[in-house]
Amino acid sequence: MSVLDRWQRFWFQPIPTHIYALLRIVLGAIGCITLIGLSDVSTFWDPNGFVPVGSGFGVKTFVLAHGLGHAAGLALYVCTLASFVCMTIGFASTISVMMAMFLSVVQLAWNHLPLSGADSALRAFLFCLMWADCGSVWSVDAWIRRTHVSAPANQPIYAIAPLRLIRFQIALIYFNAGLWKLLNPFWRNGSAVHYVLETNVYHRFPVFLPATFDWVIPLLTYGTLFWELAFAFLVLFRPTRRVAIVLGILLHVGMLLTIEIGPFHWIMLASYLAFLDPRTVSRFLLPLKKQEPRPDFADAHMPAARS
Amino acid sequence: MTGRRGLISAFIAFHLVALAVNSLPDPRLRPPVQPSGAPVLDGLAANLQAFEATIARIVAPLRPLTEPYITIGLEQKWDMFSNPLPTDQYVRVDQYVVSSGSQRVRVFEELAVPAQREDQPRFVHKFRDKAVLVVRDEFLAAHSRDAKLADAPRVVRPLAKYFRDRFRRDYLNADEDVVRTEVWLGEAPIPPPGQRLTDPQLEQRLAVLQRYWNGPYERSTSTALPTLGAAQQEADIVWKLEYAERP
Repeated sequence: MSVLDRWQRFWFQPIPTHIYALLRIVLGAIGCITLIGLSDVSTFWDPNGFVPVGSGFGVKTFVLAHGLGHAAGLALYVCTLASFVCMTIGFASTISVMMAMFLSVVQLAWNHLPLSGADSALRAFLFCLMWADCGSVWSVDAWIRRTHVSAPANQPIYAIAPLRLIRFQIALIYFNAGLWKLLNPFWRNGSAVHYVLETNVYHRFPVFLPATFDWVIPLLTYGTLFWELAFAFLVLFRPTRRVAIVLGILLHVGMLLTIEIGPFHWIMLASYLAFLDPRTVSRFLLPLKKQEPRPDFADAHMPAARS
Repeated sequence: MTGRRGLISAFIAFHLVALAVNSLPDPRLRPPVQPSGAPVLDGLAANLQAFEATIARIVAPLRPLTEPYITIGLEQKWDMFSNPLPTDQYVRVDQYVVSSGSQRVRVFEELAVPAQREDQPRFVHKFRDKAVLVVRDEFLAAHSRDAKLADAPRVVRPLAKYFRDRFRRDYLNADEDVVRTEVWLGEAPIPPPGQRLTDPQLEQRLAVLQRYWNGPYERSTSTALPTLGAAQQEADIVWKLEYAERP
């Protein structure tokens, strides 16, 4: 097989679109929950609130000068929330994912202060997802199509490229985070996790790990450091991929239980869905729909307009 | 390969290169590797930093091409927890209040961060805490870039304005107004591994924080206004005045 063939197979291999639908639903739901947390419009969206005014291409200065600050902030919030709700339920899926991405970028320019790595990760995943067909199944769009138009005979398929881009993005996040950590002396001397767990702005519970358990700290510190650095390489191979993912789940769940940093862990855990086998995901709901035949993708071809 | 797939392939390749190139931090922003007591890892980090700087130099010509693309919303900096601080962090905002027809100045201190009591479990994320901490980080970064603090007022102003407006709305009468707002950054040491705060140390700190947990706390006024850089100590929390403005 030539390099060109390998490249084509790597990026354009057709897969069932259910994996994209699943990512759309889960990431959309997390986006909605995050926006509910930011629902204090007068604080986070109104330029009169806790919002930097000098940025945003002068739009905020303009709306403030015309007394439209609250209305503009409210409109931006409602539109952003609506786009994430539409994305989650799969209504006008392609457009709603694009709008969610676009309005997330607008939100960043409008007020970056309450945003974190979670929002950067969400934007990066949305960017990949907006190139995919994520509304052909498990969506209002699909339901409308079924009720108004005759159902398509074949299972919808799409190129694997957006899924691979999401996987690449996840690997990049961890590899980069690992490199940053390696350059910090607390991570190299094994004490970093101690300070992360103890600091008053992050700890979830006001209890200190007993000093007799301090031997765990270097283990967790080096474990996190090496796992982050190795993640990108471990996910290349099927057997080690499982190890990397399981360790990642344990790490994020452990951090969820011990530190409070908002939606970052939820987004990263949700992103692991991208490592599921797309064919397995397409069968998730098959037991509920016995009349549908098991899809066979061996001879599937890319829809020409979407490849 | 069809022309369409060729175009998509070119886009994918460009996307990957752009992400990789822009995920390399500017070597000038990296502090030199400090010895940590782990010589093998220190050596690895030093070599890595040199290698990273070389790569950054090699790909530098690509940045003008990739940066505009990245600014469409793909900016990424994955340095979370990469620089854990050996101190607990606090931010306090002080409001100087006068009443019409009175010369007396009253000072109210409000704990801006953490918004939630640190002696109780936290189950809900406070986006306001995140916003205050981002302001603090940007202020400290601006401060380290420019000792004359040319950029700092712009960075801290939204924080000071937000807490002042909120304080006016929630606590002041019509004949009262805020004449000065101060932002203080506080730090309290986290004992290193193997050590813990003693019970009396913890009790002293919590007693100080207790005063703030019920909302803005009126301090007995001193005659002299603190100047930028002034320090105060409450229990083991050391406060430093970083910003002051008259509305």
